[in-house]
Amino acid sequence: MGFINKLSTSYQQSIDEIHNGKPLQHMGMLFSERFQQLRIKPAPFPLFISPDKACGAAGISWGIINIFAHNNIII
Amino acid sequence: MKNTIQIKLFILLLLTVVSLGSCEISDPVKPVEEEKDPAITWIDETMRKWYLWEDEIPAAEKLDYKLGAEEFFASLLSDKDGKGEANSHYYYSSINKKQTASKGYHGDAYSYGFEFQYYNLTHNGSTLYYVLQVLYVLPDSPAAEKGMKRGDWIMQINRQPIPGNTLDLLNALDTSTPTATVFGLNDELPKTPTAKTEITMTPRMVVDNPVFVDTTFVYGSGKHRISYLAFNHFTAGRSDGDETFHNSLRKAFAGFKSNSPEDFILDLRYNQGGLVRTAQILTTMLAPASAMNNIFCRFAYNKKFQGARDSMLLDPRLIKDGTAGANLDLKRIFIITSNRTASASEAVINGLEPYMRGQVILVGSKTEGKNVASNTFSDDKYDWELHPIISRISNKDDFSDYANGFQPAYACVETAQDILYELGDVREFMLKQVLDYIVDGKPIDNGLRAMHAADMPELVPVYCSIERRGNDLIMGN
Repeated sequence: MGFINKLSTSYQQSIDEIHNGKPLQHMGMLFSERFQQLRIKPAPFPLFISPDKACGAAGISWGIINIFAHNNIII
Repeated sequence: MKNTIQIKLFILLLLTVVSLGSCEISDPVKPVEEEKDPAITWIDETMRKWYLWEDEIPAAEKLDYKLGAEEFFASLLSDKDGKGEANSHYYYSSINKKQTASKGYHGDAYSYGFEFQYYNLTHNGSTLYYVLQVLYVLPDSPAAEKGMKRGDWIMQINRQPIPGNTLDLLNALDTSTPTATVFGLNDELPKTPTAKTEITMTPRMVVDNPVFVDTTFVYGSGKHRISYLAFNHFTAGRSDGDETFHNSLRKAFAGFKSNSPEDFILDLRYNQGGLVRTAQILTTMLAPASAMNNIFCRFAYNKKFQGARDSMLLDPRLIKDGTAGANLDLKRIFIITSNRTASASEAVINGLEPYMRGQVILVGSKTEGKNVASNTFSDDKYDWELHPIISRISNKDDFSDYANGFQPAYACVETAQDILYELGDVREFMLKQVLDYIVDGKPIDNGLRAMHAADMPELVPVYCSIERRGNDLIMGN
């Protein structure tokens, strides 16, 4: 191994706060403020362009009023 | 002749009136109202119609319609849009010039073909040097051909140290022109940023298929069959209208089905989201068969559309027999996450939960918490494309309260591992934790042992290259 074979990381502070072994829950944020600052930006994925297609066309509907096309919805 | 004189008199009179009128218009007491830029008006109108928080857009008299398009767009946004505090807030809504809309995102893009994490290596609070670690290498890319591997440390670019800020780094890694670049690599972190080997690469068009690894392991003494999918973004294909990647996804699931997996591991650690209809297809293939034709997700729009109920189904019509997809009828699923896991990835987690009830088992770090969706608006007359947040997304149970992220059942990070094995390698740290847990019930190691020594160098994450998919975001304040 090189000079550093066991690294300390900034994840430590955050990961220490994660309750290990707990079942999946929809819980609030536990991450440290410091870690929030390091957090990445999510993707808007601006692609698959269509001029104002969102209005009017129907996507897959299921007996529900469906006023938007879903083809280009990005999440 | 008489008529000619009358016409001349009429013209003279007309000119006099026009002249007087002109004097009146240029009167400094009554300033001329400047015409609004039509593009700005279009942005204003589009946002007031579609933006999820349209009721928080400032009144017209409080807006500056002389701003440029980007600044004006930013002035419309709500603090509820995006994450972070005042000094570090970023918005999910974005605007960009048309010609840059799809550059560098998916399909065919100029690239070296690797993703990386950018670190500041510090010791006792002081920077030793900056360094990149390769997270994965795309097949059939310059990086793959030169033998670059996941876990490699990039110590130098063009024989210069890695820059100390993200902007300079991205300039050093500019792929907009096919210019040869020398990368200095090391397989470990030395005291100084020295390279053991060098590779020279020229960026070229690289296909980034999100179906990165699809395989089925026969694992452990009991020969447990466990299928594994590393899925890196939610994208339909190489360009608008192309379904290449959807078909790759369907084909992968047909392969899984033929192996009759007893368990399934979905690796979303590098997946920041994308098209919601891709998430719909994926979730349809993962969910219990009994969930078919039930709700995958619901959309709630702004108050102008509050009467509209809108949803997408777990729709078996999206998959067909043979190589065109398959429903695996899973009763439980393990999902590998990280703090980068976001958006459509979270919609899959949320969409499955009502049908698996506690058996959507997350292993990794808490996810981003993006429960809102955007759409693209453009007009042939203007150079801009808008990507405002237009809806909040929820699941069958109307649950959408995960803006703070999904908490993992089992904490686990790969960051500090001595070796980052390739994704899909059974020795790869996070995958191995899940495999051993499934077959032996072995407790999941969070990967943080021996990290509490005070006098250790520290790797501080600065930037991750998969963020480039979000680089058109407007940063707040």
